[in-house]
Amino acid sequence: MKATRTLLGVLIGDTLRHPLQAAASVFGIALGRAGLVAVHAAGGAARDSFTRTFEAVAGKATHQVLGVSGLDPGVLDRFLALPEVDAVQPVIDGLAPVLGFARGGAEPVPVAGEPPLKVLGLDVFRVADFAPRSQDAPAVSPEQLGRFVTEPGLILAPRAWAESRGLGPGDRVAVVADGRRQVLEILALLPEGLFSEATHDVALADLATADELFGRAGRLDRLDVLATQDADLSPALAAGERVERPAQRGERAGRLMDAFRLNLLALSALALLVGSYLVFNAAEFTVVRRSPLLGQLRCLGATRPALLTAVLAELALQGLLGALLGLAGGWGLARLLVGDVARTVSTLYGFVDVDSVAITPVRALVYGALAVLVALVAGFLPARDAAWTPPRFVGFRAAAERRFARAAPKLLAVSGAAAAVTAIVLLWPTRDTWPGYVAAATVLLAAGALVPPLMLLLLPRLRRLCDRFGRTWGSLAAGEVERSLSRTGAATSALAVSLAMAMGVIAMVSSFEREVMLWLDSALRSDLYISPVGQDQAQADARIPPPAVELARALPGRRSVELLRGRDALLEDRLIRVIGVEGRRPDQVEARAFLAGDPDEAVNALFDGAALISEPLANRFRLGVGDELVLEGREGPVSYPVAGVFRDFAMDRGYAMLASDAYLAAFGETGILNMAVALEEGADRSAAAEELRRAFAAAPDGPWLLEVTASGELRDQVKVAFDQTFAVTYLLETIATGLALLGIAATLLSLFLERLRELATLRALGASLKAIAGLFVAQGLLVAGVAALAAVPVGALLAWLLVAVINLRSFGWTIRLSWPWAEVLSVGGLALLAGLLAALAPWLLARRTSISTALREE
Amino acid sequence: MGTTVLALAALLLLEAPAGPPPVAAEPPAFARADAPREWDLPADHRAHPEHALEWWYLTGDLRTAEGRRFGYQATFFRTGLAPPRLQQRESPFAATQLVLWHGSVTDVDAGEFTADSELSRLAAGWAEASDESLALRLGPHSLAAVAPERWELRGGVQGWQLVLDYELDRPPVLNGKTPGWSRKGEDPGNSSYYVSRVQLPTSGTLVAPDGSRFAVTGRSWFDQEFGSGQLDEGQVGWDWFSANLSDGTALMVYALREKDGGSSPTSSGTFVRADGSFRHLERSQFTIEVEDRWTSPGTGGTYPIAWTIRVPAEQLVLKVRPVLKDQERGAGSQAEAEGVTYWEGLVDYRGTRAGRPVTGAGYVELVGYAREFELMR
Repeated sequence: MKATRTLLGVLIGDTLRHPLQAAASVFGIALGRAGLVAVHAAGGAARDSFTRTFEAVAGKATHQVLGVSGLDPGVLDRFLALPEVDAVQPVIDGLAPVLGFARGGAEPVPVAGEPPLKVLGLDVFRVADFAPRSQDAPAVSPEQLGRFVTEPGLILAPRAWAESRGLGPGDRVAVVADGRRQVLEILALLPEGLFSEATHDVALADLATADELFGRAGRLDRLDVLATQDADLSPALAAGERVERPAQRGERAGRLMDAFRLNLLALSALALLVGSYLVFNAAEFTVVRRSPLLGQLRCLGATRPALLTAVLAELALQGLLGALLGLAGGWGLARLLVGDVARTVSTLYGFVDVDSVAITPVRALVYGALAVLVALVAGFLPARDAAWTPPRFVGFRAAAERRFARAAPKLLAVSGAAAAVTAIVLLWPTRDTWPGYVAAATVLLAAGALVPPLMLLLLPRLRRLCDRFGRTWGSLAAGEVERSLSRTGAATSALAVSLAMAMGVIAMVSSFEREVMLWLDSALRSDLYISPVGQDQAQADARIPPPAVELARALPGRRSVELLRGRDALLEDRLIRVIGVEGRRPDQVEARAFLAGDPDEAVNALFDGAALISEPLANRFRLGVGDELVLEGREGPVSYPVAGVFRDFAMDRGYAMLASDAYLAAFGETGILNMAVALEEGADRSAAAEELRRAFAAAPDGPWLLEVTASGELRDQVKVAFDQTFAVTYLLETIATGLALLGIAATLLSLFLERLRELATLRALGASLKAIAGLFVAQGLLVAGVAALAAVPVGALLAWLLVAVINLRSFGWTIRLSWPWAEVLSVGGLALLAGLLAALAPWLLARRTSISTALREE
Repeated sequence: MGTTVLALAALLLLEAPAGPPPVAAEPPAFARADAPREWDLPADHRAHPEHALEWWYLTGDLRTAEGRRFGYQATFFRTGLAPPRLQQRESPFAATQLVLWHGSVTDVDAGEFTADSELSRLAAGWAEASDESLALRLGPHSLAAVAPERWELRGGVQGWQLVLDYELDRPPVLNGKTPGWSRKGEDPGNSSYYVSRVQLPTSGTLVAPDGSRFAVTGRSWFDQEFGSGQLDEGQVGWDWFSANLSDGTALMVYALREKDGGSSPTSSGTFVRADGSFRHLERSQFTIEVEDRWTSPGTGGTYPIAWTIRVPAEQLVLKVRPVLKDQERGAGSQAEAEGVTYWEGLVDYRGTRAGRPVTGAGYVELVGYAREFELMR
């Protein structure tokens, strides 16, 4: 033990004498961890807050009663009559996009970029059983509570929310709700922690105020029930009502996010892969560089186990230091990422607010332990070799390279095995998404393992080729890379894997985008699209007021006006969307790309009461033409024959299209969500749009806050939403590739440091600095070029996996793969550029180092 | 007199805006019971939403044919949050009034007391309080005039269900020095309009939580009181007694207790003769002597629990004893739900009137013993 401590002292002393190398090693570990921590934490934060949003509103409720189109107030007495029920809470809630704030008595000043205000409408006289009783002073005075209940338009605002916006009691908030601009007055501020930690951004309103705000016309959104845990509440249910556990509701919302979560997870896994490589590389390098020192120590009588223990102990220390740095860096990175992740989640699945980066102590420990473990594993083999090699041979780097050459067949075997696993999981009889991710991982593993043996095979040929054509530096570089394959090989394969991943994702996204745009062109057959302001903030409860429909119908030059109603419905305990179309012309329905069913027959059947379903719906529930779609209607289950399946990318949970008669019969009037106006041939779109906007603004009980968008603009908006959705994908992708490139730079740098003396010899023999630079550049380009070339076929394979397996299985839509050569080439080009830049650092160092100093070293 | 509504209203932090209201433009204020009123009975058993506070209170002593005995309380409170407004709000959930139900059942033979309460806004069909006739409802609990001389009560108390019929065979009793106007403080506005129905013949069914049904008959006491004022400063609670006596007479007395331990000079009572005629009793015309006390294991409050009441002018001496000591509402979890604690229970009366033995049953209400009653003001 004492020997180990002494040896550890020697090693640390050595480390301190080579601070740059040690720093590079620690930095490598830190970098690897940072990426991983960032991705995990950002994803975790989004997930947590998503669940909390549901918990918050659910409060202590054991059950929730939900209706097909809201609930009749009578539901309350029915449930209270059950002996198992202790208390009930009627709820009306919604999101109101914020237009402006008014401080003091002033008029509201418009604000931009505000998240919508969540308004929770409760019956305050029934809240006591649900909310924890607080010993604190009440939030409102007696007079205020009286006003809160009896006067319209008053809210209790969350303190943190209000204070961060400089708002206080008496100030007003202008919002859009029920298609109108409405002004709410802040009566008082809610104390922190009234319901639960997540309600910090929920404003409370009286039930009546929320009803008036959101235009619920006396129907409840839900009834929260406090009952004995295992109570069967079904006897109190009326037609069209259902009972759920609050947890169930959260779970369902969680399921909505599953696909997205998997996506994040896959990217995290990639970051883990690249990060671990960096750690591995750094650790291995530390040991290999020390081989001569280790040899000397052996000669001085250090025993093998003592040496091994000392080396590993130092590695563990380095790993720990790197992990600490990595956690700090990762936390910073995650803070940057969280916003993007939240935006994506919001765009896809409804409004969530993420404000905290979730790095729990446990997570931090796990990441740290992982870093130390990877460092130990990476260092173990070289350390053992160094300790076991007879002292006189230690110190010859050639030994390490010979070892590597011997390992080549093993790598080939790994690659083959990984390829076999890929094939097996892809043939696995399931429609789950996991085989797609497993296959993606094994393909990457196979490719990664294949790269070094491939280089071993190709580099000598390249060297000979360069020799034949007199390209000395090319030959030298190839020889250099080949001789140091134990490190350059690993670096190249890491870069190849990252590039392949980047290319695959880019190919997937661009194929996806192309497909979506094609679909949009066929789906957007009307000229003007009208929707309430704020509806794009998912789940906002805005509707189009019926008089607006009359205005649109009176528009000169209009050919037809189409109305869209929609609501969520349950199908096999999963949420889908049901759309009721009114006034759609058959030729507009036909415009949708039918995947199954005869278009003419399908359209006729739709107007006869059948359903058309989107491809994701068909795939998720394995429904096809001729099957029955059974939905829970207002008065019980309603069944529709499926007459056609159409292509759709709008909603990954899938939707069913009904004719308006069938929709209204099943679900009642739920309000008009969107309206589309088709104009006569040759009509002026923008003039018509302008005219509608004017009419909406001048409406007698208006202005109605409706957005009129011409089809071209809508297409652009979809494009923006699309880019926003994939922004986080690209961002994570960039981070992974960036990490890999840093890895390359670190490898080249360490090669240089290792061969300082040889380079000095070269220079002493007359090689110019320019020539040395050429050598580095050639090496950098060689590594990057090999990686890029290897990445292309792997990337193509990955793209296929992403599109034909993962996307199809997780989102349910088919995409035709198109290989975007321009983007792929630019990724390759970027890699070469990075290779070039990676050569810069060693060259700068070489320039600064004098020949004599370098020759004197060691 | 079931004055608990004052406490409850205060507890809900909903003091009636009797003073200058905080909002501008002189919104309508609640009417105050600051002058005698012309009574129109039975029509005046309706709700009076122009007043901030009102309650309808029924208690009674019931027996089965086999002699099993029960007591019950069934009270509807109405509280105005704001005076009835001129313009209607859109939402059917919009309310300016609350309705509160307090029920209790004393199972004398089993020695068990059960109490329950419920609160709802007067909206959306969740509660009703008609301003045309006696028609009150809160969820499943209701009290209504089903015929000119007949009322029906339906109520639930935990697992108990009550369905009771009342026959209005006597004229109403108007309490107060000026009949029907009961002063509660020095300020004339701190008064209420107060009408009672005594010796009410009652019959119906009690269903116990275990499902057993009891056909019962007995006599009940009914109070209705409304106004907008409050107690005076310094008043900390009250002791209220009602007695339906075996000779057909009835007695109601109450003492408003003051902080210093004495009772307010505005304490008073009413004696009702067998023919239905009644006389007002001033504070000086009766005495209430406490003979025993009981400390609640639930709240730690110490209540008077045995008394002798004397009304010399009627040669009436009554010993008052509870059928069960623990008839305290609001102990334990119930306090959490109701937020108010008081003793409201069935008692036996035994004594003499004009030298002849007399017995009786009724309810006693004791408020302000278990907790400091600061919220009242």
